[in-house]
Amino acid sequence: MVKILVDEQIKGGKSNFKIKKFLEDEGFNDDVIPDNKQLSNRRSYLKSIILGELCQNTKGGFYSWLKDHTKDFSDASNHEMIIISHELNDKDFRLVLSTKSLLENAVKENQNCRGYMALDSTHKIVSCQFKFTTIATSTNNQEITDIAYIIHAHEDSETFTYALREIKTQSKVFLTLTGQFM
Amino acid sequence: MSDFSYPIAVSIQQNFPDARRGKCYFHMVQNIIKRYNKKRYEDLRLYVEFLGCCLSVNELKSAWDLIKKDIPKNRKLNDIAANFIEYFEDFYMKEENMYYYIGALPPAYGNTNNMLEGHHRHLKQNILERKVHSIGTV
Repeated sequence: MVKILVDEQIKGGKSNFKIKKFLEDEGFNDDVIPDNKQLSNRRSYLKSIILGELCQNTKGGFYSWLKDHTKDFSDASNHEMIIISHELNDKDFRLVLSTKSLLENAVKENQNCRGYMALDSTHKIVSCQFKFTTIATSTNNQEITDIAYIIHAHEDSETFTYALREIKTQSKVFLTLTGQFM
Repeated sequence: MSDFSYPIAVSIQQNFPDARRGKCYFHMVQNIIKRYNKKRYEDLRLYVEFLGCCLSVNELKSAWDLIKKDIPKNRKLNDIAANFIEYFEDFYMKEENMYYYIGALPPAYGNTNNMLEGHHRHLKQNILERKVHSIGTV
């Protein structure tokens, strides 16, 4: 059981929050909470890669975009966004991105180990008509730690089921690769 | 934790059937305000907050039974009492939607989705660069 307490927020300067952690799990990774640089990287990924590049692509351009931005788990840092799954056909488009840290915690969360997952949908990206859903884990003080995004064409249960299933599956793959899932 | 979206509820149930579910109390309040307007919500607020403070599902059901008896006696709510009771019972007392009370999730987890709402507001304003226009200004 891991308990994380966000002790206080200090505004200003480069480090605008200070997080105090109480960890009871010996195997727990200290890097699970993003620092400001990692948060900033996430935002710029969303802005330049997803909105800047992906949304201006044609269907044909999508696959070369995908090739350029697909990464192995081992090459990504903890809070870096990884493309974990996609589906593109004449009727539908789904793209699931997640931080490596969320994959590490998604299955554990289900075992009531830490935090919880929250979902919120749907904000249409005006420039490209896609919808946008966020899945996040948080500390007990409602600070977002890990995050996953779904960029999707339709807002239906198939889309959300697809995304959560992929997150769960990839999470198990990731934890198996790193020896954390038996 | 999510809002009351049906597709989201279905997908969570399918993928995480054993997980504890939470529904956003704030979204419920917003939905009631949309249905009855803000002024009428003030008359209903005490009842809704009473339900939000419950610690268990049994407490929630008992509280709702009390409220159902009390609302018809409230003169301010004469015109909407029956409608509100029917609406609330049909939607917010249903098994899949009733986890908005504070005890639905473990202590300190809260009963709102506000952290993600805040995250989306930030994305909309600073990254998606969507502008908010007052009615009549465009």
